[in-house]
Amino acid sequence: MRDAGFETFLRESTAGLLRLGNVLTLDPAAAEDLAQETLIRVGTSWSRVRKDGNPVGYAQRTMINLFLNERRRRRAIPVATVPETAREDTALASVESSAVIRQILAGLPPQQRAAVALRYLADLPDEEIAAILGCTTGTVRSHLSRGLSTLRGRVTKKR
Amino acid sequence: MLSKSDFDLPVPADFTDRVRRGVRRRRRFRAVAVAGCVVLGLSGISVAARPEPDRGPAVHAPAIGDVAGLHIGYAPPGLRLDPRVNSSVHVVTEKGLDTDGADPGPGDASAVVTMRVFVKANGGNQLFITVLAPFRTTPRADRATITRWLSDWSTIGLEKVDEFTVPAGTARLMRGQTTDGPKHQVLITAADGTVIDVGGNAELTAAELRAVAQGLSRG
Repeated sequence: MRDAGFETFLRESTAGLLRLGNVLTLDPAAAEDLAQETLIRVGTSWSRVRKDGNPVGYAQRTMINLFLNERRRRRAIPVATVPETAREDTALASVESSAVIRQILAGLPPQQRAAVALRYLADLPDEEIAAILGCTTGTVRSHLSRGLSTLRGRVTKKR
Repeated sequence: MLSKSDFDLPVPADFTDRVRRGVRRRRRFRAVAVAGCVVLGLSGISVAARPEPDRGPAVHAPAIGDVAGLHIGYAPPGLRLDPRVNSSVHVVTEKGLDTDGADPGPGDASAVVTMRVFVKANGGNQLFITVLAPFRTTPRADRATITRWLSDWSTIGLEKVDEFTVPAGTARLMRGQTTDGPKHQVLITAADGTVIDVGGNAELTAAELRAVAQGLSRG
C-alpha cells in the first residue's frame, strides 16, 4: 500500500461505510460489495483524495454515485410490499421497528433514500448532500421532507 | 425513528484484506495499461526523417476511421485500423499528463486521452493518433492552461522544425534526436484546445505523418 494514511482511513471508515451501504441497499451482502468497491476506488485514487482533505466525503460521494448508477442501470425500482394488517402487539411492533423502517425505506425512490441516509446516518448538511447528489439544496430539502413524511406516515399506520 | 445502530453491520474478518488486494490489483492493471499507451505513444515519435515528397490525402477522402470525434481521412498504404479504441481520463498538472494510474480526484484538472492505432498486416503497430482533450478545469487551470501543459508535455525533448495549418488546427512538425537518428511527430493544437499527437514507428516518414495530420478533420 503506497500510503499509510489509507490504512488508517480504512480502519476508521469501514464500519460507517458499511452502515451507509446497508441503508442504501437494505441488503447486507450488497452493502458489503458496495463498501468494498467504494474503498477500492478511494484507495486507487488515494493520492488525490488525500490532497482534497476530505476522504470521508469523497468516499460517501463515491458510494452514492455507485449506488445511484447501479439503480439507473437496473431501471426497475423494487418497492417493498407493505403488510395491510395492523399490529396489535406494541411490544412486537417495537421489536420489529427496525425491519419496518427497512421495508419503508425500500419503498422510497433511490434519491430520497440516499438523501435520508446522508442526513440521518452521515449527519451531512443540505449543501454537502446537494453536492453529492448533484442537485440543489432546495431539491435536497424536498427529498428529505417527502422521505420523512413517507416514513412517519407509514410507521404511524403500521402501529 | 432512524437509529444508526439499526443499520450497523459487522466488519467481516477478511474485508480489509479484500479491499487491499482490490486496490493493488487495480493499480497494477492501470499502471500496465498506461505504460502500454505511453510506450506506444513514444514509439510513435520515432520516425526517421527522409527527404520525400508529401503524399497528402485527397481533400475529401472518405473517413477510414474516427478518433474522439475526428475523422481520419488518410493512412499510409498497407495499414489497417485496429478496431479497439483506448480511452481514459488522467490528471493534468504543469508537469504534464499524470500516468501513475490514479483516478483524477476532486479539484484535479484532467484530460481525456483517446488513442487509435493502425497496424501492419503482420499485426505490428505502426501509426498512432492520440487525442488529448482537456476535460475538467479548475480555478488554477483553465482550458487554455491545460492545453499548454498537454502540449509542453507532448513535445518534451523535441524541437519545432515546421509549422503549418491542417483542417483540425495548427500543426507543428517536431524533431528529436536519439541514437537511432532524428525522430519526428506532428502535434496539432485545435481551436477548442484539444491536442492531437500523430506519430508512427521508424518505417513511416515525416511526410507520411504530415499527410495523416492533413487528413484529420472534425465531422
